[in-house]
Amino acid sequence: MSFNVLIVDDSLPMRSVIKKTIEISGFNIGQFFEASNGEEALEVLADQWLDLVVTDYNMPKMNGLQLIDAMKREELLKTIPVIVVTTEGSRQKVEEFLMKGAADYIQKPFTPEEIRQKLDRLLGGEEGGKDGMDECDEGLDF
Amino acid sequence: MEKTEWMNATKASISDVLETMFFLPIEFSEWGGLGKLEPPENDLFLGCRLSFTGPFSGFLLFLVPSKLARSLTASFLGEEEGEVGDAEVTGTVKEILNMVTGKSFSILDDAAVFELGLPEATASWELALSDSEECADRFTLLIHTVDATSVLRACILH
Repeated sequence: MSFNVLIVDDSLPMRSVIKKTIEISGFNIGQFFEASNGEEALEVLADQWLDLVVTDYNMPKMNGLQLIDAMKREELLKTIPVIVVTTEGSRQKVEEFLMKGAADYIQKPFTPEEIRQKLDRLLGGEEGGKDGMDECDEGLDF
Repeated sequence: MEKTEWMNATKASISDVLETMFFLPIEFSEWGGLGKLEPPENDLFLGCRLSFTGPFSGFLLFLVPSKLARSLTASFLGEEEGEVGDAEVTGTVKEILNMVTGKSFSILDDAAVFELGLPEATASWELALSDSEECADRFTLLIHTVDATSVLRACILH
C-alpha cells in the first residue's frame, strides 16, 4: 500500500527537505503534493486523494490551524491525519494544535529520526508499506 | 526578561538549528557596538528580518555572506552549490531565521506565547542595521563558521 502526502509550507527549501526526509524514511510513498499555504492546500485536497498532510503553522493567507479547522469541517477530509511541523514551541500552542485535531506535532529544527517516528506511529509498521528501514539508519545528509 | 537571558537562548537556538539541520559547527562573539559593523567583502550578502510580538516585542535581523548562504542552501537541500537557485537560497536564509527565532523563545520560556511574523528579505546592509536605532535594547551576535561571519541582531522594542 502506498501513501499520498501533501506538504504545506511557505518555505520552498523546507518543503524540499521534508519531502526528502519522508522519501528516505522507508515508507512506501505514492505521490507527493505541495502547497505554500492553507488555501492552496485545500485546492489540492479538493482534487487529490491524500493519506497524510504535513503542514507548517505560520503561513500567509491561511495558516496551519485554519487549514486543520477547514479540514475538520469537511466529511471527506476530516479523517486525514495532519502533522504540524513548525517553529512554534509554546505549550499553549502545542495544546491548541492537538485540540484542533492535529494528529501530531514536530518542532523545527528536527532530525530525520523524529519525522520517521511520527510517520511510523501514524502510517504503521508492516501495514504501512514501509520497506528499506535500514536506509534511514545510514548517515543521513540533508 | 533580561536581554542576557534571551541572548543565551538565541545562541543555543542558533547552535541547535545550524548543527541539527546544516551540520555546521559555529562559534560566537558579541559585537560590542563600537565603531561600524562592516558588510562582508564585495558587499555581497543576504539579509532578512523577522518581527514578533508577545511578552516583549521586537525583531531579529540576520545577515549572511552570499557565498555562505549558497553553501548552507546546498547542504540543506543535499544538492551541489551550482544546482541551487536564488529563490532557494533566499528561502533558506529566511527559514534559518524563522527556526532560530521560534526555538529561542521555546528555550527562553515555553509557557509564553509569541507570534512570529513572516521573514522578509532586506537588501541594504546599512538600512537593515539602522532600523535598530529605535530599539529599547538590543544585542548583536557574530556567528563564525570556518570561512565566514554572519550577523544576528536582536532588537527589543518594548
